[in-house]
Formats: sequence, C-alpha cells, structure tokens
Amino acid sequence: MKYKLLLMTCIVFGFATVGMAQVGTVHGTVTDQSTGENLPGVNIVVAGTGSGTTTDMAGEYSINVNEPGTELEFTYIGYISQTITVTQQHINEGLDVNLEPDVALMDELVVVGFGTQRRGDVSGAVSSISAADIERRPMTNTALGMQGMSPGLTIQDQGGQPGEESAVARIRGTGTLNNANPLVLVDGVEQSLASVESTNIETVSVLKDAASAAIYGSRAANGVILITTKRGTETGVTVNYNAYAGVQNQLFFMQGASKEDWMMMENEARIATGAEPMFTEEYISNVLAGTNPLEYPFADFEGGTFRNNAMEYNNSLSIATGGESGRIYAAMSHSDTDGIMQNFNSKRTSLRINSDLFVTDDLTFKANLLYRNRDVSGPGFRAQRIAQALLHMNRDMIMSYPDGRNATGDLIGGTWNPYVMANSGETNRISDDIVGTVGIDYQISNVLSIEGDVTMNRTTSEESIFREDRSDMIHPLSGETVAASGWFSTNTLNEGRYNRRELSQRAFMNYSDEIANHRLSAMAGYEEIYTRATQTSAARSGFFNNDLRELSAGDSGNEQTCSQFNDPGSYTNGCFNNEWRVRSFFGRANYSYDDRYSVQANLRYDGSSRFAKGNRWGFFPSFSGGWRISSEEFMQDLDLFSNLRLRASWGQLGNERQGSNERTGLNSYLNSYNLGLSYQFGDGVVPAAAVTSAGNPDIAWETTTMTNIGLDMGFLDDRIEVIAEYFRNYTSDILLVLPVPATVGMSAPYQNAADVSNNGWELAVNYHSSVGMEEGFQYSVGVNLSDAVNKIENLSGQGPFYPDGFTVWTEGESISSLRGYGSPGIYRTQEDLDKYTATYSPNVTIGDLIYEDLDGDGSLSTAMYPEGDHKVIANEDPRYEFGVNFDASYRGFDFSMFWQGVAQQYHMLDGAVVEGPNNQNFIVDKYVQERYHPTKNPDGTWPRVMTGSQDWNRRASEFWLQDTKYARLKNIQLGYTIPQQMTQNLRVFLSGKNLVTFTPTELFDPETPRGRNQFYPHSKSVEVGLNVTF
Amino acid sequence: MKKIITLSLMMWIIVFTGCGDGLDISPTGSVTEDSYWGRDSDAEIAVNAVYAEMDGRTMGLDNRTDIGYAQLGPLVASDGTVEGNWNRYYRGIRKANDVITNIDQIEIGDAELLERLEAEARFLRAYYYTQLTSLWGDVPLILEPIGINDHTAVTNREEVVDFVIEELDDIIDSEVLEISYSGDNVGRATHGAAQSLKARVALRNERWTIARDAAQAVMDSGVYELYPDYEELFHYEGQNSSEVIFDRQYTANGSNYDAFGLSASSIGGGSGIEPIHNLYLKYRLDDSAYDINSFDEPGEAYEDLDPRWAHTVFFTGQPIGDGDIYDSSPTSSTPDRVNRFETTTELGYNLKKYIDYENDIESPATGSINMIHIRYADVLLMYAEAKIQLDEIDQSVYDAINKVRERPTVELDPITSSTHSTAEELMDYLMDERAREFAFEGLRLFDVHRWKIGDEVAGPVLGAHFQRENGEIYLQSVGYTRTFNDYHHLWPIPQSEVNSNSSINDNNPGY
Repeated sequence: MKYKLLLMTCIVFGFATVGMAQVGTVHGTVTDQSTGENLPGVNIVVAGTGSGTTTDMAGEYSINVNEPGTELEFTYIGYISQTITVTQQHINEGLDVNLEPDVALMDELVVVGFGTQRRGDVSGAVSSISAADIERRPMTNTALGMQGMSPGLTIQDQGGQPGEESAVARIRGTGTLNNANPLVLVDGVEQSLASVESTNIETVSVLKDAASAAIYGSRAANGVILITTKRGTETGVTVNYNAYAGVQNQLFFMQGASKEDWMMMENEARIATGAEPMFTEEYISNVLAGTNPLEYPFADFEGGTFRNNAMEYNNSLSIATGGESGRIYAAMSHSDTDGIMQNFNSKRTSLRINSDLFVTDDLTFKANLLYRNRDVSGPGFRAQRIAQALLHMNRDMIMSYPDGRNATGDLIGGTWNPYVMANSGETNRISDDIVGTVGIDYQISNVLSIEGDVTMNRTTSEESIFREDRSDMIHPLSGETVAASGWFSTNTLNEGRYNRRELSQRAFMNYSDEIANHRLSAMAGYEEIYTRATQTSAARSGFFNNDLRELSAGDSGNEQTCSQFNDPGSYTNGCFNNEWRVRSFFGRANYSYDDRYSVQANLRYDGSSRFAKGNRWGFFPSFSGGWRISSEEFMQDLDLFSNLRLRASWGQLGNERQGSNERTGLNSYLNSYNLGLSYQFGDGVVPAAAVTSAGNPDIAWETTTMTNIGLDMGFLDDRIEVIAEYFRNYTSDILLVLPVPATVGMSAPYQNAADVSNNGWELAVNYHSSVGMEEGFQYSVGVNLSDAVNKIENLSGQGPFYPDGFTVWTEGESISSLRGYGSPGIYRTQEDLDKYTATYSPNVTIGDLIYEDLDGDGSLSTAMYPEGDHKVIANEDPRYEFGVNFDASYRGFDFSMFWQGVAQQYHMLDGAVVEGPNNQNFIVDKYVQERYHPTKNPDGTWPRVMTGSQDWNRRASEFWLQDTKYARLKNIQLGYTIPQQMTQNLRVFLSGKNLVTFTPTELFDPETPRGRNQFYPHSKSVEVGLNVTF
Repeated sequence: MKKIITLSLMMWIIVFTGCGDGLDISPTGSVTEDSYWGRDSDAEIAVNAVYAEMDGRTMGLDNRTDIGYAQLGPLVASDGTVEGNWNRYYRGIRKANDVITNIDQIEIGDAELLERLEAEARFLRAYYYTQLTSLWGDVPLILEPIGINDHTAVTNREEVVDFVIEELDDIIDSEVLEISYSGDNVGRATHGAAQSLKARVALRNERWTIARDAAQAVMDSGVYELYPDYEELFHYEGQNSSEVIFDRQYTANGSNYDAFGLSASSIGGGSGIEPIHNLYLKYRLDDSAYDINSFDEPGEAYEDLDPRWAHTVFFTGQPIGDGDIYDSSPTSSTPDRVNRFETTTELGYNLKKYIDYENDIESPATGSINMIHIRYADVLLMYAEAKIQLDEIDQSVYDAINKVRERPTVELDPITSSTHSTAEELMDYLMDERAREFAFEGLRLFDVHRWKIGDEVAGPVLGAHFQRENGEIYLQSVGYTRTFNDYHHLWPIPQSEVNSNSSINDNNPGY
C-alpha cells in the first residue's frame, strides 16, 4: 500500500513515467489496412508489462523492447487489435503494421448514460460529435462549436456579448412550454455547455430519443448532451499547447438612413399629421455641411458604441501521462475576449485535473477537479439597454462634449445617450466554479462491476454595477452646468452575491457477459442531486464621487437591501434561499445476438421535492431494439450495403421543472403565506404577509412519450454513411400556468394542463474519399438535415393564451406562433379603401396598411379569430435545418469549412425599426426607399410615415414578417502541419468565423430571436493559431 | 482485501441512500396556511398586506377623461389598466377576506388591537368594492377566501353598494378605528376615513342623504382642515397633513416610484400624462369667450388663470427645477421640445402636480410622496354636491365651496347666491371646480362616469399654444380625436376574467 501511495504522489507531482533499462528499439508506421491512411494515436503496449507508447500524428511510433520475442499489442478503437511477436529483423528494419478496421462502425464505443456501448448495440437515437471537429474550431463558446454538427441539435446564438451564455440549445425542437434546454452533463455532472473548454473534450454524445435519454429520467425530457473530458494516457507523456488570437467585427447591424434622409423622414412624419417639421432647412444644411457640429449636432451613435477589430486571445496547455499505477490529465486554459461594443470584456481561466489511481487491478479511484474563473465586465449599463438607446434616440444631440472628460454628452431626457451609457460606469461579474468529483470503479468479477462518485458543484458569483452621475457636465456652447436627471442624476452601486451548491452522488452496478453470440449487459443504480441556491444583494446611491466605488462609500441614508436601484443585473435583484432535491433509481438491460439483433430496456423511478407526497414519484420506462439486416444470410449476396441496420424505440420521460428558472415553483403545491411583502406607514416600512400564489396540491410530473425509428446505412465499405431517423414526441400534462379567475385574488398556480407534439425527421450523410488518389489528397463531406414540426395538441379546452405581446398558444398551432392581422400591403387606390373598410381611424387613407377584417364585423380587434381579427401569421420555428462539413487534406495542408443554416424560418419585426421616424427612432435606409409618399415615392410598398399618436400602421401584421432563412459560413479554416523534428506535431492555422451569410432579410440577423434587434450584435472574426504537441 | 473493498462500498452506498425519502423540503421564505394565525402580530402583518393593494399613482386614469392625454389604445376588455385594476382590487379583497375569516382563531394578543385590525380589513374591503362598483357596475361580491375552482357571478350594483354602506356603518358605529394615528401607524384607516368613504360611495350612487350626512359628520368632527399651501399639499411637506383623510403611503426605503416618471422629459420623465386644452379652459378666470386670436403671443394665454393651473401643469415659460424654464415650443433647445423623441410631450404640456423637484432631484428613482385618495376638500365639495342634488341650497353650500376657493394660496373670489343661485348653475360650477381642484388625482374619471358627461371627453385632443414664424398662434395637435360612447361610462370586465370565469359570460353592454 505504501508503494501505491508513493506512486500516486509521483503521478500527481511528477507525471512520472515508466522507464527501465531496455535493449532494442522497434519503430515503424501503423496504417489502416483498407485505406492505407496512417493512424495516429494507436496504442502499443508491451504485453504483460503495461508499458507502451502511442503513434504520433504521422502514424509513426518507436518503442523499446527487451529482446526479440517480446509481444507488442496494437490496439485502436474501431480496429481489430493485433499482437505481434518482435523479431530481430523488426528491431533492425522496423515494423510497419496494417490494422484491419473492425466490422463497420459496430465496435466503435459510444458514450451513453452511465457507461459506453458498442455502436453496434445502440438502438436509440444517439449522435456522436467528433471532439476533433469541435477542437479545431477556435471558439470560446463550446456550444457554438457544436452548431450544425449533429442532426436534430439546434444551437441558436442569441447575442454576441462575450461571457454571456447566449447560446440556446434545442434537441428536436421545443418540447415543452417550460424550460426546453437539454440536460448537459460533463463527466456526469450537469453544467453549462458554453463554459466547457473545447480543448478538454474527449467525446460528445447527443441522446435524442427516450431509449437513450431515459436513463436520466426526469431531467432528460429535452434530450441529453453527454460530454466526457480527456483523461491521462497509460503510457508516455503528451503535452499539448493550443493558442490563437483573432480580431472580431460586427457581423450585422441595420443600414441606417443617411443624415439627410433621416432628417427628411422625421419632417415628413410630422408634416403628415399636421404638426410642425422637426428640422428647419437651416438645421439640415448645417448638419450636412458639418462645420458647426456643436450647434447643429447629428450624433454618430454606432461609431461611439461599437468597437472595430476587438481582440480575442485563447491559450490552452494540457499534459496527459500515466503508468501502471495511475494516469492523469491536467489542463489549463485562459481566454480574453473584448466585445464589439465598447468596454465589454470577458476573461475565463480554467484548470482541470482528471486523475485515476489504479489501486488494484480491479479497483480504480477517480478524482476530478475543475476550477474555473469567469470575469465578465462592461460599462454600467446592460448591452440591451445600450442597444435600446441606440435604436430609440434621435440623432440631433451631441454625442460627447469636447470638455476633455470621458463620456459626457447630451443626455436628452436625462438618460438616453448610448455613447455615455457604453462609456461610463462599470459592471463586474466574477464567478468561481468548482466541480470536484471523487469516485470509484471496481471490477467485482469478470462480468460484474460497480461504479460511483460523489460530486460537489459550486458556483459563487459576485456582481457589482456602478453607474456614474453626470450632474456637472459643462455644455460646450452655453458654458453652463447641465444637470442630468433620471439614471444619471445620482451615482449608484448595486452589489449582489449568488451562491449555488449542488451535491450529487450516484452509484451503479454493471453486469456484462458474452456467451457465444449472445451479449448481455445490465445496469442498476441510484442517483441523488441536492441543490441550494442563495442570493443577497445591497445597494447604495449618492457616492462622494464617481471614483469611490465601495459600498461603504455610499450614502448610508439612501440604500436598499434585496432590491436594486435602476436596472437589475444578473445577481443584484432580490434575496433568496432555495433548496430542492431529486432522487432516482434506474436500471437498464441490453441483449444482443450475433450482432444482428439487439434489444434494450430502461426503467427510471424519479422522486422530486417539487411535488406533494403522493405525486412525488414518477416511473419512466423505455424500450428499444435494433436489427442489423446486412448481417443476415439473405443479404450476403447483395453488395450494395456494407451496413444496414434498423432501429426502433419507444419510451417516456418526465419533467418536474416549472418555468424557465430552476428555482420557479419549488413549493407550488402548497398554499403558503408569502412573508416577503411590505407596506409603509409614516416613514417606516412594515412587514406584510399574504397568500399571493394559489397552491396546487395536484401538481405532478409532465411526461414526454417519444417514439423513434432509425435506419443506418453504409455503402462502399462504409465510405458513404447514411443515418436517417423519424421521431414522434408527445408531451402531455405540461406544467403550465393556466389562468384562473382574477376574482380568486391569488396568482394562478402551475397545473398539468397542456399537450405538445414534436414530429420530425433527421438525415445525416457522410462521405469519405477513397485512398490512393495521387499525392495523398483526401477529403470528406458531411451533410445533415433535420426538421421538426411543433404543435400544441391540447390546452385543456382553454386559450388562446398570449404568453407575450407577439405570440399565441392555441390548440393546433406551434408553441412559437406569431399572431397579428392579415395584410395584403398598403392601400394603393380608392378601390382598396372601398374594399377594406375596417380601420383603426377614419383618417386612414392611401399609403396606410390594410388589415383584414377576418370576422367581418366592420372593426378591428386583437382577439384571435373568430372572436376577433388576429390570426396565426407564422411561427418562429426553424424548419429544415442543415449543416454541411467539408474537410480536405493534402500533404501537410488541411482545409475545412462548415456551413450552417435554416431553409425556412420567419420572424416578425417590431419595435424601433417599425416605428422609425414615427416615434423618433432608428430609421433604416429601407424605410426611406420603401415608404409610400404620394409625390416623392408613389411606388413605395411600406406605409407612409406619421407621428406616434397615429400609430395604426405599426400593428402586428403579416406585413412585418421577415423571411429569415439563411446559410452562414460558420467556420473556414486552413492549416499547415510543419514538417520538423523538434516536436511530435506542429500545426499553424488561419481561420474565420461567420464570414459569409446568405439571407433574404436586410433588417435582421437571422440568428437572433424576435425582430427587435435590441441585443448585443453578433460578431465575425478572423483568427491565427497554433497547435503543438510534444 | 476484496472483502474490505466490498464492505466499504456497501457502507458508502448506505450512507448516501439512507434517511427517508429526503424530498420533504419546506419553503424557506413562507409559512403554510395551517400554522399562520397564532398571535395578534400575525393579524397585523396580514392587514398590512391588504393596504398594499391600494391604488398607487392613479393620476393616469385621468388620461381617459376630458383633461388628460397619453397614447392609449381604445378602451377594450383586454386593456392593461382595466385588467390591472380589477386584479389588484380582488387581490386586496382576497387578503381582507383572509383576515376577516381567520382573525377569530387568534388567541394570543390584545383583543382591542384585533378588533381594530379586523375593522381596518373590513374598511379596505369596502374601499375596494367602492372602486370596483364605481368602475364596473355589477361585480362579483366575494366575502370569504375562495379557491381556484370557485367561479363567482356578478352581483347587482345596488346590492354591492348596500353591502359597502352597511359595512361602513358597522365600522363607524363600533368606533374601533382611531381618530388619528401616530408613528408607525400613520396612514392606517381612521374613523374619519370610514365616514368619508361612506360619503364617497353614497355620492357615486346618488344616495344623496347618506352622502350629505356622512360628509357633514366629517366636517363636524373638527379633525380636518384645508392645508394652506395648494402646491405643497402634493409635496413631501404636505404629507399626512390635516387635510389628508386617507392616502396610499410610500417611503424611499420601501415601496416607491420614479418621482418624475410621468412628467417632463427634461427632468427625466416620460410624459405619461399630458394635460390638454380642455383642462386649460377650465382655469380661465376671464369670463369672455375663449378666442385664440386675442393673443399676440402664446404667453398671453397663460395670464389671468386660476393659480391652481400653475401648480398642476408645466407650460412654456414656467420655472422647472433648478432655475430652468420649461419650454416645449417647437423651437425649444431643451429636451422638452414637442415630439422631440418618444418620451417628450406631444401636446406641449406636462404634469406638475406631485412633482417636488427640490426634494426628489437628488434621487428621483425613489420618489415617495404619498398618494392622496380622500382629502378634506373632497369632503367639502361632496357635501356641497349632495346638498345641491337634494336641492337644499343654503349658505353651507356656498361656504363649503368657497372654503376650497379661498385657500390662502388659491385666494379666488367667493361665489355667492347672486352669481350662482339655481341648483343647475351651482352644479355646473361645482363640476368644473372639482376638475380644477382634483385634476390628476385619479378622481376625474369617476366624476365623468357618475355625471355621464362622456360627450365632453369626445372630440379633438388639443394642446399648448404655440406660434408659427408668421406670428400665427395655434394649438398643438397630433391629429387625435377621442371618441366616447355612452357605454364607456362603465369599464369592460377584463377579457381574462371573462375567459377564465365560467360564471361570467357577458360583458358590460357595448364591449
């Protein structure tokens, strides 16, 4: 035992390797027998010793042996292992080895829930994403790296702010009205997809149907993304260094009108309603001359808010090693990304140690530790606020005063100058994440093993938001002090602390046996997850000056606890202390015969603290089967298929989450007095308490039933691989807040109240070129395509419901249906006016938008047809999503590109862009070109412009629908592996992200949600980088 | 060795899987129903919560009358304000019913205090029903806590009013509400508040005698008097003054609001309420007919006006804040220029009442001037109105009206039997007087509804006086014409209630 301890110390501190006196060296190259390709990473072990090596990137190896007669084992996943006895000739002349691919993909190991399975035995819908593919894309956000790589997995990038987890993942569409995020497990522990370092990833599996996800039961109804991180190697030492640096620029922002058009449009809107023009001829000519910008200002807010050539850096270093008593993988990475908006930045540093200690031949102790620090900073305003200011402010104000100080300028209305907002104050959010796992893996007998771990996952976040005051600006013309009001009237500091602890443990027993052609495996286990989240916040205003940013320096007479001044940040809003727990028992049995037939059953029994006794436990079974037709006798004469396999599965999964926040509805089964209320008498705050939310003791699990049929086909020795899936998902008893009469006097509770279906298909086709082309040119193409149709099947006969101002939930339509009026365009003639008589105002005339009076009652109403005139005008679901990968290599060069897109997608414009000159908002150039004007633009197709109170042209309608299908070059990369002797591998690369986009809309980035454009814009970037392996 | 390993494995599993099902996790920030009602302080805390549903800044209601404007959609059943008020009043009623139903369970505590607390809850419930029935007419009358499956039909308006008056009588007769409170109780319902509310609900339902007597009782009590400074009455200075009978209390450290939020752009407001030309006309003291052509420059329009105009409205030429002058004219270089951007005035006026610039400018985000719901001037004018309606025109009617007009900072000539003698003349006068005195206190809408003067609300909405380059004076306009049909004198029951309450199938007529 002492010896073991000593050795472990060696592993941890010294990356000790095995080295003994040896006499000869064997070297050679390992190649694929069928393709002739050199195989890197092949394990070569001296039989019976555990010492060995792996082949390098060129497939070459070199190993010391004691004497001829030593046996070398060559093993590689997906290939048949070979054992070769070394002869003197080998020592003298080298030993080249051809490994024969294992039959088809069958023996490839796929990571599934609580274990791995041979590809050939998997009968559920599981996609694996190659870690190499993700690793090769320079990306600080792993979620974005997975975009388009797996059919059925949608990653939508909802904003470009560095450090914000704005990527939304969906597996096979949105299955629930509640949180529809898939479960992301990193080494078995739930984590955010965005913050896993891509260079640490070993494998990624996407579990899409019930059969594969059911083992995760309650948390898996939206699918599961399983990530395993790298572990040490049992031989040798591998050191990896990756680095890249890049410049980012804005990917998309609407083209604004020219200065002259802008002012002309503002005047046009006013003249149309009989008001005075906003800008005089004198003002316009002075702005255009630009000679007196202080007296005749026209602010370039884009220039003052966005940043060109924002830098990004990323470095990562890892080491993997091990020996017969253990192995270790240690990695460190650091990234530093500037935002494309002024003053935004994100830094992330992470350290990971994955270690295994082989206590005995049968017993392994695992210890994993992840520490991550995230440091996100920005000005005193959220990006959305700044974007809002950019879109909602008129331009006739001085963006910044030339008074020698930073960020002072005209604050019309006291607040809204995006330049000042983006360049003053400070937001800091520092988070520390620690994930520690201790586990064991014990092989009880040849067929029986037990595994388990205890994990602590802790996040601590500290946030502070300091907003400066601007009470002493000097106006450049008048020389007078300008007082700012609103947000800028006083400086404020909001601070918040958030703490989340998740303690989990799992233990499971595996049985696996093989008798002749029968392969049998089974697993049974237990899991428990306990989470506690707390938050505290405090704020003060009235700081002595804008440089003292400590809470203690604020005015103690003007402070808040558990609430904030101004806008809340992520953690500066309220205080809470919540806890919840899930306990589960699960089991799985697998049987396969002769690689032809396989069946599997999963059972999961889940208990959640969110439900009352009696409704607490849910039982979720699933079954699946596979048939490898190509192995059947009758197929042997048919040469067409190298692989043909049919899979089918059925199963049920549960969901306990209510709303999109994990803390929502923790006790919604209880009627309880909310003690957090208050009122005030005199100048004092007094406590108050009442039952504000009705409890629903009947609340229980929401259940998703999934049916999946899959077909795997391989042609030409599997150089062409086709995977097709068809699925039907039906979620019933969806936890939904069904309105109750307001006369009840309490807010409505969650009820099990709706059914939603998602039906669709997926297709993946991959092609690898054959070997033997001249000069080693090789390429591969992968295409994946998928579609899902979402439909609300049942709303308990109620509805329609309006979850927000734009969408509607109604039976028979998608969850993301947009509502509005039908509209054939604008009134062009008197005939139009006679035909469409229902209007919002008697003043409606030619040039105004037509709204269809669906119910024919002569007036327009926003109720859904038949009660009113609104209808479902489209839905926001992406249809026919595709990804296209192309990889090629030639000698030392490698090239890859990846396109991603959606073939059918709609969004509706709303907010500032639609309002434009009518409400003194951002005026897009398209408005100038398209708006109707009887003399200036009689052929215009957009409605005429008018001031805000006459807003009948800006109602939600078909007219504002945008076709947002797109194809985007997400990544293009050219690499060159430099031939040299110093290191095992040295590669440099040049890559680009989001460089080309094709889309019909010019008003909207197709990857952003909804039409308001009020988010942090996306970026495109160009990077240079380096990969070195020692 | 193997045995040891196996044993330790078994132990490890037992440690982590034992101890019950572990899924009973009690809420951390709340108490369940069965354990709440223990002591008198529990009742007090529960009553405090009933107050919290009181109307907050009701001045926005005046945007639907003849004196104010904002960009509002048509008055429909899905309107946010309609739904918001309905929901809030029923939340308050639910909380009050909870207290009234459960307070008897309490065994520990001061019996007198418990009696008073119950009376407060009953008063507030009466207040909520007064508001409900004034706005909607027939409404569900719910007198105990109900569950989510209880769908309640509407009760006839007269029955609701009967109930409210009976409740208030009970409360008044029992004399358990204090005459006034001190310290941390200032703002609780008083004996005078119950009397005044009784006058209000009676007046709104044409029960003139009850209204007269209730108002008389308040006047005779000697507890209240007018606050001398009309402007200050709506500033911090005037809070809890002798004129205030019942209000919603705010404090900077507790519930508060954006002090300037509804007002002028230049002080950070969003112009959520814009006074309009119709209101201006009511403040003219010049008896001659209004003629826009009689002015040589816009400023002349604002001479010779009732002093309350300048305390209620920001108009061009008026001081605003720190020595600055409000200027919303089209040539203005200030942020208040009409239509300058989304949050500036469209019509050229902004709201001044309840703007205490000096006290709030340091921290406008936490404005906390109490919002007055019933004040003594209202009692005086309610008294006068009831008497006029009863055709009991005597000196006490003139005295009541003149008291309001002769407030030291208003100092208008008294009206007399020689200027206004008939009930009709007096009523016409009183209706305008209420508009001038209570503009943007959330009362105008109720007055318009009970007097059924919606036709005065309809018509083009005009704003401030401005001057073109050619010298011509004009009234600012956004081309907006307001419609008002007779059925608008009642609000529609919110669509959400109609949709979810199976006992309510029809809305008020017209909707």
